Amino acid sequence: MLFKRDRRFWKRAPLQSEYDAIIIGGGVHGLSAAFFLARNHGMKNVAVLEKRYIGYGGSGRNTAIVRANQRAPETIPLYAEGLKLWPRLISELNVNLLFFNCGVLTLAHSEADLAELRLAAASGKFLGIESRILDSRSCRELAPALDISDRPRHPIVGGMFHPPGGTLRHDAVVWGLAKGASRRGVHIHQNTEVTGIDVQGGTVKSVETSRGPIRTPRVLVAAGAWSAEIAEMAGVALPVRMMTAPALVTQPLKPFLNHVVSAGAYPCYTNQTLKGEVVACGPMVFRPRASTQTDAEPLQRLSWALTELLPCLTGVKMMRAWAGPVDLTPDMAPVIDGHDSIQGFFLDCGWGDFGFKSGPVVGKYMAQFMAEGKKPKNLIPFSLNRFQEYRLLGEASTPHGYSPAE
Amino acid sequence: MAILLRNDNGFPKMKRRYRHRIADIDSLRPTLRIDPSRRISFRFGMRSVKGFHGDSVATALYGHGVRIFSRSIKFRRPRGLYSLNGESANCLMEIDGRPNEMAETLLLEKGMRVRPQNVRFSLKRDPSGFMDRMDWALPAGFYLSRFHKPSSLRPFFLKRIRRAAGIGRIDPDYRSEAVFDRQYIQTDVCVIGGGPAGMAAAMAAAESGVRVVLLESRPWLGGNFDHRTGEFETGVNLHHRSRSLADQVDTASIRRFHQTVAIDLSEGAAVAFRMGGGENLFDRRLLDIRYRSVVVATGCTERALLFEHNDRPGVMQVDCAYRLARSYGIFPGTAAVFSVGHDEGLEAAAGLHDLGMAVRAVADCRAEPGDSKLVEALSERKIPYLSRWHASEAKGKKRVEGVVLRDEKEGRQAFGCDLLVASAGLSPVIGPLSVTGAEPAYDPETGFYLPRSLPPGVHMAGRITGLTHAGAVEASGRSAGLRAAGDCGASVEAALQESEAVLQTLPGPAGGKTIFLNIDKGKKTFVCFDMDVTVKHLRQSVDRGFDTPEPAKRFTGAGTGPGQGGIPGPNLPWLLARLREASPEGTRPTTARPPLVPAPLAVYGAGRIQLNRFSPVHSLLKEAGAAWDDSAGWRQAAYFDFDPAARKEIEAVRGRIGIMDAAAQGKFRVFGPDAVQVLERIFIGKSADLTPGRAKHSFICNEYGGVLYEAVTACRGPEDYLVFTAPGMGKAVYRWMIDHSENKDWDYRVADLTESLGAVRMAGPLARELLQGLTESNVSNPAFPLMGFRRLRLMKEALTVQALRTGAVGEVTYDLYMPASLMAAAWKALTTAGEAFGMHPYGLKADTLLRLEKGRLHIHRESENRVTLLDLGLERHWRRNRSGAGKVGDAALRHTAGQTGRMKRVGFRMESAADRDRPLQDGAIVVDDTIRGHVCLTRYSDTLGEQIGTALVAEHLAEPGTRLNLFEHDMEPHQRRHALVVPLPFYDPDHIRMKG
Amino acid sequence: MNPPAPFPRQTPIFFDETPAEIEDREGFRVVLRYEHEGGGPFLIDLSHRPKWAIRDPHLSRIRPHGMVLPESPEACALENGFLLLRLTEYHAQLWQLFGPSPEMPNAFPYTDTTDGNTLLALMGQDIPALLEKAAPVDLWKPEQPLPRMVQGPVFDIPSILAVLEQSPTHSIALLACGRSYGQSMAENLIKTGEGWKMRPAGERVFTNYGSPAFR
Repeated sequence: MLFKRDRRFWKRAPLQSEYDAIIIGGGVHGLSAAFFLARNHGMKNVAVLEKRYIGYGGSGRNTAIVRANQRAPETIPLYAEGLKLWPRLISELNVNLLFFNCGVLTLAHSEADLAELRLAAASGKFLGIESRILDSRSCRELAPALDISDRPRHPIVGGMFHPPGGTLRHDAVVWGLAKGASRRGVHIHQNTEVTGIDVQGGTVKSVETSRGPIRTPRVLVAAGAWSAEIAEMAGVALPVRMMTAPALVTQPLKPFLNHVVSAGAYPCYTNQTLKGEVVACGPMVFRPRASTQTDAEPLQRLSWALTELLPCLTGVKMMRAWAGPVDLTPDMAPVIDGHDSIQGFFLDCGWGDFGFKSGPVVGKYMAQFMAEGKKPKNLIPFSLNRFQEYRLLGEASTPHGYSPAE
Repeated sequence: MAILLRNDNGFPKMKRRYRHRIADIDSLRPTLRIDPSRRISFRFGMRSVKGFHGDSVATALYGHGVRIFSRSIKFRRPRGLYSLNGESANCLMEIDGRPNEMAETLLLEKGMRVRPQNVRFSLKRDPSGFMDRMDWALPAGFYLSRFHKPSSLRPFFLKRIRRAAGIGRIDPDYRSEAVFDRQYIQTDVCVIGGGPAGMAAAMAAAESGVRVVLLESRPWLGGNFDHRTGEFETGVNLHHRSRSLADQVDTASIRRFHQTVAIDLSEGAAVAFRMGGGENLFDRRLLDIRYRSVVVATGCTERALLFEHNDRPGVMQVDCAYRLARSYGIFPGTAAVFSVGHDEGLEAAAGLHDLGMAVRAVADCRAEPGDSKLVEALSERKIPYLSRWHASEAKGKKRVEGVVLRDEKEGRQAFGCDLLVASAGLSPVIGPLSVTGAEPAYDPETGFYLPRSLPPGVHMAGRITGLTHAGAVEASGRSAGLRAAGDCGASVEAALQESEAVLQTLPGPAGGKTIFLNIDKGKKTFVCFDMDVTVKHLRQSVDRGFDTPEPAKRFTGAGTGPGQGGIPGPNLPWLLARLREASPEGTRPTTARPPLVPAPLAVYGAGRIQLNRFSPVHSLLKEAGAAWDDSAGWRQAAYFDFDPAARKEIEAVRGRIGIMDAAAQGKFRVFGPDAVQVLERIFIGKSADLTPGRAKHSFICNEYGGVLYEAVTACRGPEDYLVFTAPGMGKAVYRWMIDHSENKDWDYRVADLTESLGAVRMAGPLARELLQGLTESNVSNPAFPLMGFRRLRLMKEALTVQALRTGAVGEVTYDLYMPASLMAAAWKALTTAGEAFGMHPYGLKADTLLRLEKGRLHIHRESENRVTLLDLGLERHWRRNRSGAGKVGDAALRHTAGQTGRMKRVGFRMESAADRDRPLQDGAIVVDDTIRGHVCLTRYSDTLGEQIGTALVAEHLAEPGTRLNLFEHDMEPHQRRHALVVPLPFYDPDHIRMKG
Repeated sequence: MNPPAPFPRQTPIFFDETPAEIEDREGFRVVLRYEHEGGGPFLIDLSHRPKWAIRDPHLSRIRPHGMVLPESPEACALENGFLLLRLTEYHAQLWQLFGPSPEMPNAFPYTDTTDGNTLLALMGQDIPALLEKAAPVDLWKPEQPLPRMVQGPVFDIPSILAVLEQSPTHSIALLACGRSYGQSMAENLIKTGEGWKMRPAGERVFTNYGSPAFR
């Protein structure tokens, strides 16, 4: 059984000259849209185009934390549904995505932080997703390695525990979705770069690629941090700002940290993987273009933050560091749209650092949107024209204030 | 000499008694790196063990007879010393309570407590060793198809997986006593690698007059020459040469850093990790090096030879075996078989023979040796030399007891041995080059993956380029050093020509290397030791579509262990190319990422000292019993007298007079002909109508109309303004001002007076009376009205202040600005004068409530993306710009002015007094059938005798009188609390008090 | 004498040491000597020293006290006890280090920045090594003439650093940063200098250095 032939996760497929739908970007969002198009809507003549290899971008460089303790009421039900989807996906894809339902502990370092956590906890509870507010001692009971004294630069004054959250194995999610999509007839083309999008008379006609043009009536841009470049090809400007988020992983340790810990004041969020490594992600830095290059300074800041939070880690060694490309919108909420100014042109991007947890659930609704042509109700708040209408969402607690020179 | 016995398999078995250290240790003097006269005792588990000064922890243990250092992570196989460079997890141990210490490279210190990690019972007898027979159950990516069915058992499986996870153990309460710090180093040329090429490069650069820094990972210079016995020139051995080079470096003006490895490199900067301890004032140090040019001379490591059981203790690399003997005086074994693919293997075989070790055979996987003299040397010593032969299997259970050698044509031969020196060839250490952005590509000349082109200011030299001839290695170092110096402006042309000419006459890179890979079986042929990845796993990976290094690494885990790509890295691109029957040209090795060598988190984060900003009256506030808050780096008084509710403070402000430290306000003088243009652009209100002696409160919006900052602008004279921002916002406002006047060609200047001016705020009904008593100027309401700005002489002209009258907390309020050096004295004088009026200092907590009572906007708590200035009820602060252009946020406000369905800021009070028992908290949400908003700020006001607050709510709930349903995080789902929307402000709605 | 006694002025720095000699100067209580100053290296608070910023689009035309401004930014000159530092094309600073303070035109383009800045002197043998632990700036270029200056962060705080003297046995560096950071800066410098036994010292250690050459 172990040596059965053609056990490829996704099948090799010829590049056709025409598809019913083209999905640009082989990450969690693109692959799940493809998967659900084939599974729920019987649209099987679908291609996913990936410039490098699937999971190259943010999907393979995130910390794989999933949660639904958001701020904006519009996003909470979406993320909550997303959380419930993982166990079902595991069964359905028959791939172990290693969903570790460990819970997420978000720390407060000030009175204002606490107010924000109360808001998130109350919103979650009202919408049926559990979070509870803790004092600093209860935080330490959950994570005994936390330093709750006055010593750290940002002392801990309390926190919020969100039991439904957890972690997954990000690569497994990408591969599992690819497998599921491929089994249902979707073509996955790696090393295929999109170089242009042909729009005629307000309708998408075809996609130019490094391997030739492909005719299609539907294009979904789900290229993560590269989405702005791709959307530009169709003449659509996205109000996103490119950042990179530094991340690091330590040498494997026996389990000592049982939950995801997130500390906004540094910022730093961290968890211990099922391999025992401590993974952490920290302060984002501005980049003119999507990039996976690491910078020394934010990495040093992240290491410092980690030792402030969990001082037992001082002597533990960082094994590897990388940077995740991130596209941030002014209100930190995504751009999900389609058929807006261009018929057949769909967008699922601007996720910032929330892209992983939203992948499958948004893919599901995106597929519905693409197949039926009508935007599902729960995606309406995320339309692109909210920026023209100055109707931003409340995902961030402060108004965005970056200077034009930044 | 060891006595050979035969065991059941017909293989000779070594007798267990042997001597570990070479008896005539003094004969090794020239290369010896330990001091045999200085013994160091340390603990290994429960035992007390001795090593020598200069030993690494691993060599000391090896010298003591320890052969098994760890158990592998998946198959629990015994693992031993394989290389001495820290390329694998084989020698990770717990040392002094620190998990995962690299025993191979860590210098032995007296009293160290060394313990094996992640073993049950003992290293030799770990009952989980049965996992080795479970390999059929653990194919590549096995977890993807396991442990998820049935779904009810998933939690159980996860528990088991977690139990198996990790290597080292950490105590959550562990606190390190060690000193981790940072040093910034400025240099012209930075040379990475203190081997012959690096030393030559450093010296050449130093001779041309530039500053040079040389980094070497070992405690001594010398690199690959250090222990080698080969001939440099007639009568001079390589190790003699390395000593004389090191002596020259010592006398040159070169900053040398031993035990220092580069962990990251970018344009103009390197990050290095330095081991300390001993006489140093630090234990571990981060070096932050700024250079103008860099020479990478990191040399080569050995590419692991692949064969069955290539991970058995007793299998080790050439360099490891030879250095054990020559640098540490330890016999790596008693009887050795060599299976190698490069000349240094042949050299080491002869060398170890000469030290008295039995060498049974030398198999060379190449058809031809590089240097035929080495083969002659072997035959002189009667060591069988088997060309085109290679090891195909190591025999023995817990350690090597024999080896099967194989040749494609002639078949197999078995040898008994307790040491199998195995290496497939050399592989360049290109990590430092890769992290600079240079992309490695296959180089058919050397058979290496090398960068085709290097970024400007980056050079490479020595064995990394494929050179093996000792003279050429040095000459290439010299050339690189000169080029690097040239980058820094030194004139090096003549010297460089000379050095290049020398290089031309010497042999170039050893060309046409055949890449030897043995992939026939592969069930227990380990490509990656740390993650227990075998050739079979990689074959499975290719079968499943993960056929290039990056995805295969993710799928199999090869190269993701503590040693990172050290062992698997060089083989991976070859192997995958071979397994999918492609040429190596198109395959790229995995991306090297920092840290190039694992470094403690505390080192990476070291030296991150964050300075506090103190007000000039900090110590006076401290005396007054202040508790502190941190706001944008400033230490600010939060409250006094241990009363977070700040009752006394509020009472003083509302009833008499309160005094507050306002030094953290941002203060700017904006002046010049176009100063008003700048103000008009950034402030949403109108600034142009300000006249001297008047001030105005205004807001800064972003382009979405959201409120970012607030400030008071005072007009000092024509074209001369002072801008006072809220505490902690100064820097951001300043940046905003500069950024939004860029490319405008406006003639104006900004002077930052934040630090130069002290600021004291006096507020309360008696404030005017107090002030009038201190000055001869007329400060009556008509003479000094609200939003007036005056220069006042106080206290018989002892102090001149600029005074601004505001209504910040709803009372008569004066902000007094004076030179910062006088602020402490001024504060003392004011508080003394205020005593008669019952004055009390107040802090941020009181301020927040006082402002809330007055309905003032709390920017950080009430302003957010969903609401604009208009939604916040501040339309009076907006002066529509007729032209529309130029004012940041104006377009948004005009667009949204008529919009419906937006959120609005409202004031509310609790509906029933019964709610007093359980005060409402910030962050409660406003609901009906769905979420309609939230409570931004709510407090119990003693002044008003009720709980008040502000909320952002949907527009249809914003009318005064509307009943709000509130839900808090700790309420039952059906429970609600009720509040009534009331107009703002709560306190003194007609502003009689502050205007009066 | 006019009736109002001037208010006492304070620098941002307070060392928890016993002063041995104090002088009252322009409202500042200047410690000339502390009781236990040790043998160096020394950290000296010079924040009371007069300082001005000079801002002008035509900076080179200005001759403060007859001094000629260095041509290029990041250059400085020491004359008659004044250190004149050119920060940018339009911005220079003038610090009066030695001698009695003179009158400075209190008008455009001069701004008195005495109160806005902390000014510290670091003196002794190990100053270059000590500053290597605090500042990622290139301050000790051997080929560059003295005095020299750079702008850069010290403990991540924007600062101006100047070197008056550099030799293997004795170096003098000046450090200026925002007033509010002063106390924290001084404390952390002392802490950084612990390994070299750095101690706070009174102004005299510094003026003694200046007296023969500059008075």
